[in-house]
Parts: sequence; C-alpha cells; structure tokens
Amino acid sequence: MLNLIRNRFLRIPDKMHIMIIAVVVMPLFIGAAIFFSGHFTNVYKVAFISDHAISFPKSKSIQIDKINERPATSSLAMGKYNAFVEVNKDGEFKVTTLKGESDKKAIQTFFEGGKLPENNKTEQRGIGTNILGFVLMLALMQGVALTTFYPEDRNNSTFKRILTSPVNSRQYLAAQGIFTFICLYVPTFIAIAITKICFGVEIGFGLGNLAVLLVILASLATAFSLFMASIMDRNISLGTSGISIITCILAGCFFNFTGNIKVLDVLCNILPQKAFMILIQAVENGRAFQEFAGQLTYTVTWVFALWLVGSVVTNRRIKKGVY
Amino acid sequence: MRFLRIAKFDFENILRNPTLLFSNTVMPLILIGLMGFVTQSFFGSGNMSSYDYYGVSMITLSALLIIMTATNAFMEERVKRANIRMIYAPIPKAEIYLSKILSTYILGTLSFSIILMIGQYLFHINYGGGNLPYILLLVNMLVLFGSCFGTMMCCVMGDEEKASSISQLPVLFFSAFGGIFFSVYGLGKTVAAISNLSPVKWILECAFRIIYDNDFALLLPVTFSLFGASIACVIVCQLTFKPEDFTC
Repeated sequence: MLNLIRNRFLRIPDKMHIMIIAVVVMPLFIGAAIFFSGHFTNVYKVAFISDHAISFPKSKSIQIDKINERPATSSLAMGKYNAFVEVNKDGEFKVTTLKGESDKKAIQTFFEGGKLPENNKTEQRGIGTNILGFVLMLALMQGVALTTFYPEDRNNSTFKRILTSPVNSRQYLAAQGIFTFICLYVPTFIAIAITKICFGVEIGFGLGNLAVLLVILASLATAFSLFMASIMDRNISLGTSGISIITCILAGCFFNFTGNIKVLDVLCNILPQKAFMILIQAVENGRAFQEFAGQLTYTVTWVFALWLVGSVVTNRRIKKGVY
Repeated sequence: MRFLRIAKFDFENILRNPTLLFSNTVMPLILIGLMGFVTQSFFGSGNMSSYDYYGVSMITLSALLIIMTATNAFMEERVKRANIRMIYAPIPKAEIYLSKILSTYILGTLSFSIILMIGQYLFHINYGGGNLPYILLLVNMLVLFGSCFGTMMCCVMGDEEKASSISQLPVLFFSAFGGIFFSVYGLGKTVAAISNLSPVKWILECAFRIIYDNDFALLLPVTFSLFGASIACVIVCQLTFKPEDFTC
C-alpha cells in the first residue's frame, strides 16, 4: 500500500497541470476570496436624481451620487447603484430599488430623517463560515481531479494488473484516498494560514480549529470523489462539478436562506454540507466542538458511507469482471 | 456531404452522452431555479426578481461552460478512436475539428434557445419580452465562442482532461469578476474598475441593457467581438492541431 501511495506521488509529473491547479491556482483563489471577502462592503450606493443641491449628512453605510439625469435601469441590475431616489413635486422622496422591502424602507428613512434605522440589516454570517463554505465547494470539485489516477488506471487496465499483486481493491482505494486527502488538505491549509498570518485578514478561526475543520472538509471531499470515481465511467469531472454546485447551494454554503418548501428543507437537511455549515458557524461563534457532536457524527457518517459505497461498487464490478 | 456526415455522427455522439445532455438542458434551469430561490429575499418586488437576475447570469455561465462539451466531444477516449480512423482517411484535418465545433454549436444553440423560450414564456423570467430575439442572438454567439474555444484548447493541449480543467479556470475567474455570482460593485471602486476587463461583465451588461433599457448600443460590439474571437480560435485550431499526435 505504501508503494501505491508512493506511485501516486511519482506520477505527479505526468499530471502536472492538475497538480498546478490544485497546489497553486486553487490556493490563490482561496486567498483572493478571503482577501476580498474582507473588503466586501455593505454600503448602499444611491443615485440621487435632482437638479437642486441638497446636502445630506454623511454616513458610512450609504454613499450618495448626485446626478441630474436618471441612470439606466440596468445599472440597478448590475449593482452599480442599489437604489434611485427622486424628489416629487410635494417634496417627497421616491425610492426605486430592486432590493427587498426592508432595504427600501431603510433608504427612505435615511432621506427623510438623515439617519439609517438601527439594526436594519439582518444578522450576517461570519467571514470564516463564508470562506469555508466556498472552500468546501472548491474541494468537492477539485477532489475528483486529484483522484484522476484511479479512472486512468481502470482505462489502461493497470488496475487489473495491480489487483493481481497482493493488493486488494480496498487497499488501492485507501492509497488513492490518502493521496487525494493530502493534496487537498495541505495546500488549502497553507493558503488560509498564510492569508491569515501574513496579510492579517481576520478569518474567524484560530489555526487549531481551522486545522480540525479542514480535516473534516477534506475527508468529505475525498470520500465523495472516490465515490463518484467508482460509480461513474465517463464525464466524472463534469458530473461531480454539477452535483457539488447544486448541493452546495442547497446546503447554504454561499447564502444562508430559509425556504418555505418543506420537501426542500428536508432535502437540504440530509446533505452533509448542511451539517458541516452548522458546525463551522457554531465554532466561529466560539462554541465548542462537543456541543455539536450530532452534526459532527453526521458528517463523519457520510464520509464513511460514501467511502463504503464506492468500495462496494468497485468490488462488485471486479467480481463481475468489468475491470 | 462527407463533412455533414462526420458532423452528424459527432452530434449523435453528444446526444448519446447523458452527462453532456443533462448539463446542457436541465442543468441551466436547475441553476436558475436554485440561485433564484436561494437569493429571493435579497430582491424586492420591483421590476427585477432574483429569478430575472440569475436567469440571465446563469444562462451566460452555462453557455460559457459549453467549452466542457466541446472538449468532450473532441477528445473523449471513445471519440478519440474514431478520430484516429479519420486521420488515416484522406480527409483534410480541418474537417475533423470543424465537425466538432459544428456539432457542439448546434446542440448548444438548440438547447439554449429552447431554455430561453421556456424561461420567458413558461417560467415568466424576464428575457426582454419582445427583445428576446436579441438575447437569443447574444447567447448564440456565446455558444459559438465556447464551442470554438473548447476545441481550440483541445488542439493546443492535445488532451481532453488537460483542456477542460485548464479552460475552466479563466471561465470561473472572469465569471466571478464579471458579476455572475454577486455584484462586483460591492467590492469597492477598484475592483469594479478591474471588472471592466472581464468579457463576461460586458455580456451581462449588454443583456441587462437590452432587457431593461431597450438599449442596443453594446449588442453589435459584443456579438462582433465574440464572433471575431471565435474565428481567431478556429485559426489557432488550424495552426496547432496535429493529427499525428493522436496515433501514439
């Protein structure tokens, strides 16, 4: 088995592009994401359309551009402006926005009273949770690229030859899994740690907590990629990307949302990413891991289940003589 | 005639691949539905809902991702064997890659046009109402560019896996900086200025201007740039495609 692991590493030069993407480009992506998420401002950008000079009190969370003509509606769609404010004949402010009702009211209140209502924003999720949500999706998509040796071995009949040696399929999968895990874990951890230490970006976790959380994250991605590589024959990468994106959106890796559809709620709660997101949010808020043992066990169960199914499918195909 | 026969076979090959078929037909609708549903609360009852926004941005993203279909249609292991036969036959090499471009393009145009129409008339997503033909044209050009770009990457890299994994990166990068997932203006003025370099931003802006402002100023420049870029890709294909690499 050690030989198999070593073999994976020896074959890296053959797949240099994958390694460069995994070890250089992805960490850069993650670093950039962390860096920019720190800059993400929740400022209302308002176009105030008026011929008269009216001055408004300065506020950190609202930025007013005075213009004479109404800008194109598409600038609202593109997010250049969040709202247009016009004054009608009676001196009332009319707010046009694509944002929700509470935001519209907040802007209206600001123009009428010179102050934004307090706590008008819904409670925001921590930076760390957002970052790890994003990293989780990248890892799920990347994992399968790092598992590429396995389908390649099958296609070249190398897999069959390996099985004639004293190695069984479980050991083979374990070796492949260890390789994928290392290649996912190490660059990701280093990327986040460097951005935290060198650039001083606050990510909401200590390095210890981060290390533990990334172990769970990388195991999940590894198990998932082994599972996908086992059950699919072709277009593995495309299929995996699709499933990862859909399930990550559903599990709230990017946006925390509450739906009103029961079936969808149940579906979301089944996803391992959901449990993981609850866990990291709690950890970021300073709670202990132990309090969320349920979520932890649930995620780990998924890891083992995916691994097991992948292994069973491979074994059955070997017995049938597919490989 | 011979060329059409090759293209027809390539087209059928894509149809026989469930993953490719799924990702070009159902997947965009799922993405629009999901993103729209998840971000519903960020949008008000104004004239653009979350579905309208992600209807445009996710279609753009999916149309760009046709690159994956193109690379797959060209150099997947099973197709590769058939390609080798063609290389032995007295066929100009241009016919080999042009047929992949054509088959991918036909599939993309058909499915994305249908998706846009279903979106507008069945799900009431705002694709411009009477201006829908212009949006169709825009997406059509995007699909053409994606098909040519994917095929070009295959010619340059000589390997499907390399081509698709590498071409995903600029797509993701330009999409993120073009405002596909979130508005770049939220990241401050500098980033917003940088985003002007992203072609995806201009495609989105063009679409939104057509839909919400009846403003066609960007339509011609954008479609012609895409068309020009497609031709450039085909030229690179002709220069770099080495059929003899296949045989080993």
